[in-house]
Amino acid sequence: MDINREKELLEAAGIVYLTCANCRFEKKGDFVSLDLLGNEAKNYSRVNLHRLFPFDRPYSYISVLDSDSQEIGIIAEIGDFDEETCELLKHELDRKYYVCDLISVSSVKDRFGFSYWKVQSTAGEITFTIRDTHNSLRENIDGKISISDIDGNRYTLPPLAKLDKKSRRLVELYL
Amino acid sequence: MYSINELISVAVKANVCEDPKNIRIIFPYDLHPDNGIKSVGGVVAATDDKVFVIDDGEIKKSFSLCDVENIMVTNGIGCIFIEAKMKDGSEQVICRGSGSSIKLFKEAGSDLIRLVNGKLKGEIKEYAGGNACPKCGRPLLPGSSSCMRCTGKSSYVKRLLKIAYPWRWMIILSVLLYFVTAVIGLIPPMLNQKLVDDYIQPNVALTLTTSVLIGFVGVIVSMLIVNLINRGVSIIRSLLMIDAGAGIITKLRQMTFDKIQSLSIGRINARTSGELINRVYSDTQTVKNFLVNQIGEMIQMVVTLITVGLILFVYNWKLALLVLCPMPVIVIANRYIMQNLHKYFKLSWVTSSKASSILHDTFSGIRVVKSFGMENKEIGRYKEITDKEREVSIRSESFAGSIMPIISFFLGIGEFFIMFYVGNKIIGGEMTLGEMSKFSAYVGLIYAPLRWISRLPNIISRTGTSLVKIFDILDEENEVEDKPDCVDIDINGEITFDDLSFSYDETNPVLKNLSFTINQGEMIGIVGRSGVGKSTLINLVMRMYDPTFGAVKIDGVDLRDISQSSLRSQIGVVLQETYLFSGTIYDNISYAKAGATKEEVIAAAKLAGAHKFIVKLPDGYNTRVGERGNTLSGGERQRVSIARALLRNPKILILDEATSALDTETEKEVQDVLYKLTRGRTTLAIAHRLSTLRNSDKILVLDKGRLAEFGPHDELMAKKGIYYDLVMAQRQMSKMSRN
Ligand SMILES: Nc1ncnc2c1ncn2[C@@H]1O[C@H](COP(=O)(O)OP(=O)(O)OP(=O)(O)O)[C@@H](O)[C@H]1O
Ligand SMILES: [Mg+2]
Repeated sequence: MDINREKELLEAAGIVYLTCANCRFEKKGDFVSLDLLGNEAKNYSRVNLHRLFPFDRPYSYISVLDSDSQEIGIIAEIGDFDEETCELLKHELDRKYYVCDLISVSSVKDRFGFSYWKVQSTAGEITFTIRDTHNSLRENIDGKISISDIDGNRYTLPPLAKLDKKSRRLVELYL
Repeated sequence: MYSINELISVAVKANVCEDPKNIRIIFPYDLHPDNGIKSVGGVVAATDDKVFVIDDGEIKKSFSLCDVENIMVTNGIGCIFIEAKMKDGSEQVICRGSGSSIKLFKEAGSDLIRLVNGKLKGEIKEYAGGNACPKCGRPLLPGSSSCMRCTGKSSYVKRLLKIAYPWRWMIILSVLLYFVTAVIGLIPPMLNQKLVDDYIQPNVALTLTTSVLIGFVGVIVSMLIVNLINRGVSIIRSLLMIDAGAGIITKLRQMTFDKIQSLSIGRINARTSGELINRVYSDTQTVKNFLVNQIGEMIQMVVTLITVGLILFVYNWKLALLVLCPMPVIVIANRYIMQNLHKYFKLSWVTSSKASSILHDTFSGIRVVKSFGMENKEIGRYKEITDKEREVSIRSESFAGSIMPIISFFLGIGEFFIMFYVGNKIIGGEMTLGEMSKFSAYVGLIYAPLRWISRLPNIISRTGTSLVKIFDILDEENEVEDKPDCVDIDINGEITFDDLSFSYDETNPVLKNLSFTINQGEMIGIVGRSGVGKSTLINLVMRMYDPTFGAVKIDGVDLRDISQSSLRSQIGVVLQETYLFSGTIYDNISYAKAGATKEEVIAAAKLAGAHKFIVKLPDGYNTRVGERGNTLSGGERQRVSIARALLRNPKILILDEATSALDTETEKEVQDVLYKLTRGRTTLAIAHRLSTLRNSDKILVLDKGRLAEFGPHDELMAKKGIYYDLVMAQRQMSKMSRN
């Protein structure tokens, strides 16, 4: 009974899941093109990839959009494609989602609803500012901590357990 | 950031061209265009016929401008791209920058587009990145000219004392009384000595004469009196401070509440309601406690420490040193404790804010919780946060619990030395029993302030945390602020959007380059897809936010030059999410206008079509509507909010889906009344049901954040554009439902 209801819901939504059986991704210029196979064969010379769960599942549930931002379909798991395609998609995603890896936090200062961070990244010391600190930090499923600053930059910190004591103390306050 | 000369020399070194004068556009980018995450110091240079992408001093890519069809600036997540679409159909990434270079990329990108189209004029120029604070070099917040981090504010304690100024006499008096208590506290040990040495164990055998008896009773009575005075003083002191305490806490709460009220929506949204409630409620309590109790206590302790210390030193400095020898340990320990406690207090502040937020959230959404049967989930969520609170408090208490006894022990060590020393003296006959009892009483007295010092970190951390949170709000700079020279104007009602662009978060523009004028008295229907920015547009008219670029003008005056109170008092608005306050229907309608008469309220309700259902209620206008008006139906709530807006008799009326919850017939009635009433008044009405807008003079169609169409209904229908399609689609729908 319950399974039927689930199935009904899924069918009603009519979402196209893209797999190696029904489509082909290729590199075109600096971007990715898509060939839909089968009855509704169609070629998109450029598609955009968008993560549906950027924090929880960065390489699964990827929405594929056309140049008008209309969804063509969803890739449930990029690992289901052959290695070359998988690399291509991964590369495209990593380029679109720029995330700066941080190592530790040196200081955090709260002021007027903004917080000012000084951190060590893989590329040296950087500073950034966060608006609305509590909503800008989150712990991902894998324990890593994602941060977004006022300029829209994204950062990740290693999981709390792997941070040094001082960084942990500073970050803990905002999770 | 590189200067423009540095950039040019990089380009020349990479052999972009011989003569640097040929470079038309040059700018840096900070992310590798291709590779996942590496940052590089790259430069893009363009001459009149070519674009070069330089990385690491070498030309990595170049295009002929005549092969380029179009240049686009596109957003990634956490980064931004400039792309070229070539005439052969392929698309290339020119460069990529981090979020911090968004502004630079947008400007440079537009210039590249102009260059491609042969429309770029003028000299080579430097593109500003984000602004940086002149003091610390940190990026400035968008829209602010001074770095909030660097703005020096005078010390919090000083300002706190200023807040307590009206109660200064009471506080000073209470401090004096603390002083008196401290001084009186010095007397009992002396009496004690007298009692022991003269009467209990006198050096010479005592014969019981009347004078001895009088003396003996005298000492006892003096002890009693001292005690009485002491209690009396503390009663007076408490009574005095009740008044001051209540006054101060009310003032602090009022101040924080006022400030929060005056903050712009954007700034308030940046905080959870739990946080705000915490600040208004518990932080003020903590600060009040500090002001009315702890300052006095501090004085008492300091006075005791100094006087008793002096007495001890004068009496026997060696002994006194023994007493004080644990001091350094305490001082060092205090610093350590302070750091740790501070962390715990911050943590507990955060968890308690979260707990209040969850409470607030669940109670406001209780209908959703119940209708989805999610009570247990909410109970779990609340349990989780209270568990966290418990954990934090266990951590801090067990920290304090284990460290405090150790400190007490060190504090007490002196006492052992003293016993040894004093015992020796008594055995040797150098000291009387009475002297010993006095001495140990003084030692007992001096330990009180010493122990208190070890509690000081606790007090300071707690008060400090709350104080910072309160001043954090009080000092907050508002994003939407009245200029010092802003004016009150009498609005006629002409509204102009002047090349306005707006984004909530600086990255994704919601409205783009809107330019149009709404004449005085026109009724404008605003249509467009859900999420296109209709509500945002009217928020800008009300100046809930300031535009990112461009301006909104009313009667030709920039909104930023008009005082907010004068602006808003002439605008009536029915918001998309109708919100009623708990109270009666009458309260809710008359909310819009202080001192409105009953007649006015009834008239407004009648016009809004609310009177019809109100008369049927047993309590009429005195009907309580419950929190958020949840005892009324959705459509009833809407009509009450319309009445609220009409009561203002505003120059500009804004209706955001104001009649969406009404049946078509009721809507038509309300619309017709509104139409009559609003003739001659500028009205902005948003509606998805296009029939709602049939009385509009003009229709404004938003599409993808831009102004797509603007004109009278007939004109737009004839144009057969977006509006035409919308109308046709809706007609189709209603035809279908009729069949
Ligand atoms: N406070 C906010 N912070 C960030 N983004 C916001 C905020 N308010 C709205 N937005 C976003 O701005 C866009 C425009 O929102 P807006 O409320 O103006 O849409 P609308 O045209 O009124 O839609 P609807 O017809 O559904 O009411 C939406 O994409 C929305 O997600
Ligand atoms: Mg809206």
